[in-house]
Amino acid sequence: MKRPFAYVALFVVLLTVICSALDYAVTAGLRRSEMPLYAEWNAIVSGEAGAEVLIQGSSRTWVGFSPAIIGDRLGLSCYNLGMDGYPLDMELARYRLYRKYAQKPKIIVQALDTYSLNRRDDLYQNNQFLPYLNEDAIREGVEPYDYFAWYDYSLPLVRYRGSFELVCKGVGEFFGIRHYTNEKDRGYQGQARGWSDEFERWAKEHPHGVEQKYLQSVVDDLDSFLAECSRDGIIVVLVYPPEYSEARDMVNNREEIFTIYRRLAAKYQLEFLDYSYDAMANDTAYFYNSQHLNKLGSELFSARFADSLAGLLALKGDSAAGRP
Amino acid sequence: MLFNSYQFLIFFPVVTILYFVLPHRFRWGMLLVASCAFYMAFIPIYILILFVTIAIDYAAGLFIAGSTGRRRRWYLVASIVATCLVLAVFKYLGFFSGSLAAIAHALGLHYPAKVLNIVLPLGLSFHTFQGLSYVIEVYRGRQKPERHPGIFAVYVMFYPQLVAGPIERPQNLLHQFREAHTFDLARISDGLKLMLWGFFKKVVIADRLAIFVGEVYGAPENHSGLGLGLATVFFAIQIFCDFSGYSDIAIGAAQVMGFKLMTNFNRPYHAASISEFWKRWHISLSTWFRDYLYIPLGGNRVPRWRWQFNLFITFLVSGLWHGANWTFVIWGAIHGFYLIFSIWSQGARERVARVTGLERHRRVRTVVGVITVFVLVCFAWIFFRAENLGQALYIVQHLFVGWQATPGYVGATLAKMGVTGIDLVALGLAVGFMEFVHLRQRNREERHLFAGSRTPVRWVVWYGLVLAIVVMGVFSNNQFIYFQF
Repeated sequence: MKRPFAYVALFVVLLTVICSALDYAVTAGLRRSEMPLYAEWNAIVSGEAGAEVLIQGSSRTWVGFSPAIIGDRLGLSCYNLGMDGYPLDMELARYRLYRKYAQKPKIIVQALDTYSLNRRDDLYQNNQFLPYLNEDAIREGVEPYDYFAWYDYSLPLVRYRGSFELVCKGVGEFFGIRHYTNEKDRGYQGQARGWSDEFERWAKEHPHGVEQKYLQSVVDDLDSFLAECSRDGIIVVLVYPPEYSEARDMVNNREEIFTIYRRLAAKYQLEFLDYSYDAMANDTAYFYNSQHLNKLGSELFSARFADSLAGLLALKGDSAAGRP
Repeated sequence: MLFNSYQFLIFFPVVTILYFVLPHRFRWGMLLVASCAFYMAFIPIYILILFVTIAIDYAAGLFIAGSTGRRRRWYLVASIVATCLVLAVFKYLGFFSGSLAAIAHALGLHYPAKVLNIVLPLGLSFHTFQGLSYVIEVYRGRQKPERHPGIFAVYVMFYPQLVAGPIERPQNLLHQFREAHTFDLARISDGLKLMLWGFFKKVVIADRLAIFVGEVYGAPENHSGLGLGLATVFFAIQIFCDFSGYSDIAIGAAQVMGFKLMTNFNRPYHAASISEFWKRWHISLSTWFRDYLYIPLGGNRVPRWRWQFNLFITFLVSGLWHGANWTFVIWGAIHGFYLIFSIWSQGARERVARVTGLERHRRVRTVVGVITVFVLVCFAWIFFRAENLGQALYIVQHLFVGWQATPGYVGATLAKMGVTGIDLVALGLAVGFMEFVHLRQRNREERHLFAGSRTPVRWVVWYGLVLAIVVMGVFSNNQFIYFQF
């Protein structure tokens, strides 16, 4: 074999080029995809998610707040950034990414849950982050989970290891062979589902209720986020959307968590709209499980919330204008 | 340490570079330290068991070589007994004790089973057999005793084949530690390619199939006969890709440093008879049993009934070697029976071939033979894979239960096993490519993969393999099946 090291170098260089090209095609394909897992991220990085009213929260948010209803009522553009399965840490990471690509919103509706101040043990649906690992906001958000290693960030294609289906979909999107449609409207998707027996089964398993953990570090993150919004002149409204009343009463340390929310609201002079004792909470017709509103419930709730928000904004406008 | 782990990605280049950087006289020491580190990555304390067997075999080799007559024979027996005792305590004590307790219970007697709560040391059967082959070869005068304890220790502990073989003979491997291997890029390149091929078989095929096989064998009662049958066929492919993949990585890793290990697999599912299958499957173990058990028992140079008895005993022991469970014993017995039956039925089969005209169509006859052997081997794999005898019998009894001739039945069965469309595409491509390579390599060993092809073809293949491993691989650090033996 003549010039062996040149041979090896050529092999490695060519391999790097091939892997980089495939990585590029997959990433570019996924970053323009309307697949459910990527559509919202893509709306954020393309700036399409930019709105005057931004709604943040977990899955309770993306199935619970209709931007169409809220935006129409307020006469403002509205977008729902609700993120499936994650508490506040990743919601804030998503917000940081949003801020990189869009103007600051006028109003942020921060929806809260009793588990908002906790952190997941796993990186749920970790595939959703793959095309955005080069984004600082995402990297900072996922790093505490210790899921991705240095090679995922540095070596081409390695982040997609074992994701044959995803690679096929990404390449398909890149070459326009496959196309998906996003069924969400500005991040919201009403769930036309009836009440399931999920809660009854869960309640049987937890006859003495549950203790919802919270982390001081996440409380501090929320505190910093509210301080940042205050500095930026963004109006923040904290909201606790309705949850089924029997489930509500099964969180033993609920008052402890709510005390934190109320303390932070008072600290930054924010409104904290708590719908957990709303009449809706007693009727399973509005839910598909104990935590999530169905389409009927979310539309009713969105209208009510929009009215409250409009009232609040009017009040703020009056007080800003010096009217009693 | 697993070959398919990130630690090995660091370990392998570091050890290889050190091997070539160090002067020859220090290499055995470095390999010994590296092999210890490799083994201790599992359960560190078990290195002591390895040291005990090494000490026994090393001393036995010297004593046997230094003595004559009955004393020489006594040393051999003592070392075999001592080595097997280690194996018996760590691997078979619980099994024998449990079996005795079951027999006692059946007879209405009380005998409490001894429970030894220890994890089986990895690869115990492999390095024990490698040590035994050394002692026996020294006794037979075919191998000079190794006086250098370090080199003897590396012979037993050489990390590429330490935990799952190939089980080497001293004549092939020992002298290689004294040879100064040079840095030969062509050889290194061949070794790396073989490793790549092994990784492809392991992480792309075996580990993906393991998911579906585990799903069915974990709860066979949830699956129909078709599901049980498909899972068994999947397991046949899985175990081949898992074990031959391991062997390829081991042989390749050794080849990179200049060592030539024996071939362990030669397209076994292309065998047209059971005896041919055993000449192609786990060759290092089959030849071990042939040389050290079957031939000493008399082989085929004895009366016909004794010859068949020798075959049966050899396969029974081979089954027991695989694991301390009746399922393995029965697996061995089934193969023993297959071989004996093939001897009995040889005349009848020839007559059938003559009558049906297959005799004139050698290719068709070979294909029929290959399919028959595959089906028979798959049937035996049920016992090998099942958790216990009860489960194996359940699967056998239900293999033809619940079959439906309705549209969508196959799809529904696959879906129940957890197989998605994309899995089928990935497996179809991977297994199809492997078979293409097998057919193409018909007269060549896998270590000479694509050696005769033009450079662009070879490069496309290597790039394709790397991409397939990255994109289609399953990265859940699945242990190799044969590690448990």
